[in-house]
Amino acid sequence: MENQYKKTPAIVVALAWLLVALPWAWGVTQLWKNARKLFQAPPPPAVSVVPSTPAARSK
Amino acid sequence: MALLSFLDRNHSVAEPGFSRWLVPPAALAIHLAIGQVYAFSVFKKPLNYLLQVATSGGGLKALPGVDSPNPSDWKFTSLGWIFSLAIVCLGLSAAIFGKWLERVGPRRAMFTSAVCFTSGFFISAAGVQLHQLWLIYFGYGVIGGIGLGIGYISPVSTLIKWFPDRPGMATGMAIMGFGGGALIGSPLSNDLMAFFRTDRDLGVQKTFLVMGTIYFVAMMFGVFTVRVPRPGWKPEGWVAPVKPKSLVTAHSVEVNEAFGTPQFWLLWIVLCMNVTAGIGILEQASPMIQELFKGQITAVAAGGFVALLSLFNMGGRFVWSSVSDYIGRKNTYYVFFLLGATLYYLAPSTGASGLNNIKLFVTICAVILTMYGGGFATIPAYLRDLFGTMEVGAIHGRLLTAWSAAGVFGPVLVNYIREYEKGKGVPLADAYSTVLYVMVGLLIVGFLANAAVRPVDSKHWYKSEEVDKNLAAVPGSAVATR
Repeated sequence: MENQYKKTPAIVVALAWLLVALPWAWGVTQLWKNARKLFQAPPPPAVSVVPSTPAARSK
Repeated sequence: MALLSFLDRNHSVAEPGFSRWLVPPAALAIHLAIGQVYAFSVFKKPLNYLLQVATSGGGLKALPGVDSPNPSDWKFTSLGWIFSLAIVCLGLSAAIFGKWLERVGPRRAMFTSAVCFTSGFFISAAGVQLHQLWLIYFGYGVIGGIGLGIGYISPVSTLIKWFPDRPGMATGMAIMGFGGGALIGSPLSNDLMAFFRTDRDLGVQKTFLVMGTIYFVAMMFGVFTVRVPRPGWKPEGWVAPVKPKSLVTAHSVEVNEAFGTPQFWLLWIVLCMNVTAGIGILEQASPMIQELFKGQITAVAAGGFVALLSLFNMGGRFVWSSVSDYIGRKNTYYVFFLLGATLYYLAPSTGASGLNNIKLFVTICAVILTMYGGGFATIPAYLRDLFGTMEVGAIHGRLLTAWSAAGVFGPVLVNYIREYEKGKGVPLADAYSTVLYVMVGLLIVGFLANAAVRPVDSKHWYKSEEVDKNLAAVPGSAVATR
């Protein structure tokens, strides 16, 4: 019964996924660039500065 | 309103042969858009400097570190209310409009969400132009917040009906998109503001207008792509389990009825405790790692740590909700609470005064954040197991009030404990330890609530012979038979 109807072409499904995956991948790449700073930053010479207010942290 | 009749539920019933794998991208189009709300903080500083830059020029770096340099500029504390309003309206609208959503179907709900969410940007652009903060409160906070709530729950029940074999994975994908929305929204906002920026204009208004337009187009992709399964549909080759697991019902419970069951409130506690504990890490991630490893972690590296946690928060949504399809929802939350409590307990001992192991601390926090995200993503499938598919979107909407409560309770608790300890002269690193130990207590409460969850009593089942008959035959297609 099911086979009498036209199935959604695989290319349409792939394109739909691509439409959401591309901007997402771009966003993940941007975030990863930030996240890498955790591993790349050199050790500070002196005591680090701790942001003390939520406003300072959100900047 | 014949023009909008394509939004009706009966116009969105899938033709035979329609691939169910088109529905997750449709859901993601909505969630990736509305997830932008978590990136709203990138606008705070520019909004804080609007008049200063307009009158004196010099761009954003004119007076770094100064709150509202022009006395008529908006204060940081006032701007903070925009995000808070949006989240409160998210919770309220999800709770209020859930039942309406089940009646009109996902397409109309997604369309409404798109109109509200993007209108928020346009109204806010007017607010920037006229320098009227109340317009931004009303636009992005209230109208946009309503769009957030409707958008958040709109694809949930549809996905569950399309994927009766893997409901956790399906809803996990969409809810992962909400976590991913900030990843797109944040760099997009920064790039657009940089593009529109001039010597006397920070480009916020134009950025709002462009973002509203982009998100509207993206969300329309979801509106036009989403379909509901036709009555009696089931995945090819899939057979409903003859003897379902004890917590998985073949019946359905109406949303108002579900609201009065102990199971609803137990899951409310489960979600609230899991989210509150996660916020305990998120809220203080940057200062905490700097304080626990004093002299070893810079503020820049701490920023990287926060970004890394966001990635694990997002990934955990998909991984844990998919895992829950195999080990069961209750067991998944047992893992969250038991493993979570252990990790929270161990985290302070990795600091400079203990093991002094940064990698171990980062790993522990990353695993904790996967479980924070996993808690959000697994709850819709847990609700479906207990209350059936008929009004699971509406029930999910009401349960999201637990998120709103945790959003208030978590930061207040964290800040209160930290300040209290500081006031007693306790070193900051030790104050963070106390916060984490309190989180262990919350996770134990969540564990107990999860342990108390039992199948819903049959007296709460929806009494419709037609629905029951169809549900027994094809779990996952209840709405289509109503």
